Amino acid sequence: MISFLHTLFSSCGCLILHEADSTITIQLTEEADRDLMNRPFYWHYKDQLGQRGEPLAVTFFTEDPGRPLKQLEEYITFGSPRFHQLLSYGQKKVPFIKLYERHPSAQNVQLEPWLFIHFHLSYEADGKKEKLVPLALHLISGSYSEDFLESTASLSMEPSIAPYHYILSPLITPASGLNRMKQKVQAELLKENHDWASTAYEKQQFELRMLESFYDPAASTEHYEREKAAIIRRFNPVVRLSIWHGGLFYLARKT
Amino acid sequence: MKPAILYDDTWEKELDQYVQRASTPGCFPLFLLTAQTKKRILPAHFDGLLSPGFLPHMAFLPHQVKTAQKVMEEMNGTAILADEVGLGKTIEAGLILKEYMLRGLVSRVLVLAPASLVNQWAKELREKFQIYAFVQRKKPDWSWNGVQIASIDSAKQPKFADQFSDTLFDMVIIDEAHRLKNPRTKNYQFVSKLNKTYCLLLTATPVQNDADELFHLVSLLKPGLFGNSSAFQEKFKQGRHAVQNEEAFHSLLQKVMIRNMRADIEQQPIKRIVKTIRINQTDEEKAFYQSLSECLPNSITLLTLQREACSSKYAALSTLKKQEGFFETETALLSQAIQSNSKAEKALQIVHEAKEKVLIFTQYRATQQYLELYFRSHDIPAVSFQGNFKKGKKDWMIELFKGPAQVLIATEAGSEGLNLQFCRHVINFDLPWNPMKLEQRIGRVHRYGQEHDVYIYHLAFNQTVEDRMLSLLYDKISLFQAAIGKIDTILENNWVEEHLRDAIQSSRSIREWEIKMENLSAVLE
Repeated sequence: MISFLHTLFSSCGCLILHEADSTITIQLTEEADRDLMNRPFYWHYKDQLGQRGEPLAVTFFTEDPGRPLKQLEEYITFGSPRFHQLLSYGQKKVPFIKLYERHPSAQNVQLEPWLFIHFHLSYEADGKKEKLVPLALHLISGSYSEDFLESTASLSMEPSIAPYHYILSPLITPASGLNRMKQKVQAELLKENHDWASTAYEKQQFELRMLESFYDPAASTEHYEREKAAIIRRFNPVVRLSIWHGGLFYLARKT
Repeated sequence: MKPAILYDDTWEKELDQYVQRASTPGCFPLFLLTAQTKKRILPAHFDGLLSPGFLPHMAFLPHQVKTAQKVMEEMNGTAILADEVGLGKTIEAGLILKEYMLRGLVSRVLVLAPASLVNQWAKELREKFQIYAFVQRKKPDWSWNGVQIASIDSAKQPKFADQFSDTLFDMVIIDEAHRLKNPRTKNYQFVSKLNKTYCLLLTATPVQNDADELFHLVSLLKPGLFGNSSAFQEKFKQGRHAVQNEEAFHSLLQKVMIRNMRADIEQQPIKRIVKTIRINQTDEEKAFYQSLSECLPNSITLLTLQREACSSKYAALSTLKKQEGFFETETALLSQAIQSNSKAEKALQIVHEAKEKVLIFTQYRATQQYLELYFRSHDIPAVSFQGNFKKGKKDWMIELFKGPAQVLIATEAGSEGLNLQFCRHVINFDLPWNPMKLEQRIGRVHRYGQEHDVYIYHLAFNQTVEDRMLSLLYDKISLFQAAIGKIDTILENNWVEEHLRDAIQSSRSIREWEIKMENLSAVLE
């Protein structure tokens, strides 16, 4: 957890003031403060006056410190709402990335474009499971790679292009590349076994019938509608497909 | 059947702009970090619990994990957790809550507990589950988008009604849910109006008086499980108390209720040794008891008075003295003649023999005060415990009982939620009307963490209303048993035999004997 907080905040430009086994103190940047500390009135006030605000410093504990927490001290664990907030903050901060390989070769290097995407699949019904599916598309040949990040892990990647490196222009635009990849993911998704969805649907129908035996559905009451909505929320089978993040990677042609 | 696929195109819409922008150096580590972290926490399967893995400091008991898993996999997050007292219902609820939070199915949560347990809930969620809950106090703010704990009394106030009708809670957890057995109460109506997706009701005593209570509890969670009210009456009810079609009733009930029993869980179960000690009143006590019918105050029933007198003369006097001119009556004189309390003497004897901590329950404040002085006058350090003590004082009394004091004298109220595993002797100085209160009382010491056999002593006067109370208690227990399964030996097994003998030997009139036999057969039916 500490290493998560450390990487997250230092990558976002925040200063780590203090770090130990189960605690870390962070000087937030103004941007992080605005996003995370939930004090819109303070920032609105400062903005109106045209003054610079002072971002806060927060201390996170990953174990109970054994004393009551003071202001600006927080207790954080995997799965807590704050943790989810930080994770989604980190994700929104880098929804897209553009990286270029720096090749040690002395000669001119041609870089080929890849579109990489982490698809997020959420299977929701009476329970929930999720998947993060990585997929990469070569924007010239149209070939796929399913272990793209692993196979590029040893390369040195940089946010700007190195001298004597050149980009080959893509034949497939990122937008149509995305479309191809999306279709591939959906096609594979439909091939999966979806017994879970049928089971949930049957459960849902059963519970709805039970509800109708309790209330007279003809005299539709507020109560009935509320319980019905709750049953539908509890059981409706659906797969939510979204994109966790993605990026353009320019890699030297493998020789 | 194929599920619907909902595609979220937020990212796609931004793609054109993303492509234009250059990245900064910190981006790649963050890019990898969020994906790795997400992979680590996401639920890869529908089944199985993630939460124990995230809480390595907790040693959960197998039945607790099993319960949490069953609630998630089979009951879809709507359940009555009805374990016997002391098996960790709070822990099961915490596990379930944590699980749903980890899976991202739940974030806005309302926990409703009795006011006296609100802080304990916050503490347990924090220490055991690392869930940092917001405690709603005098000026509650229901817009909080996380876990919040409140007392039902503060939440049900009419001024908040609009806020609650606009708020959707992902999960509602209600502790001591047996308080919701009557659909006409404000509490019940408040809870039934809550907008919620998942719901957990916690109670050790889902039935206190009759099976309708179960019907109402279940209707909060799954309306229609037993059909509507008239169908339920027709299909499952028999008379006022009893249940028919037991098998069907059970199998339906098991769909929403989990009840772990101590005996099934403990490999070497802690034995519960129950002794009903029948005491003869002294002549003075008997005379006082029998004179009560002559100076009955208007608003008080004879039975109430008799029950008080069975506890101590002080309990009865606290009622009687309010009456004008009482001190001139025969009864007042008779009360003065009572020099000793036979039950207190017996209790003292038990405390002496036990040479250990002893917990004494009484229903009456006056008896409590008397007992405290009585024990102290015999050089036994005793402290009192009442529900209306402030939090700090309660904690202090428990600390005293852990430390120097040998005897804790508690009244009924406020004993809910107390953990006194270090004590293993309980004296019921007088018997409560409600058999489940007995279970609640015993549960203070007979709970997880208790390492020794537990001794329970019921003190009852021969030939008094206490005798009759036992039969009624027994009736209610059998109903409870039929609805939920077996129950511990709260009363001795050979009680029926004893009652038969007693009915023949001690009845002063044939009418009394008949009534007793009727009672008995009603019980055995």
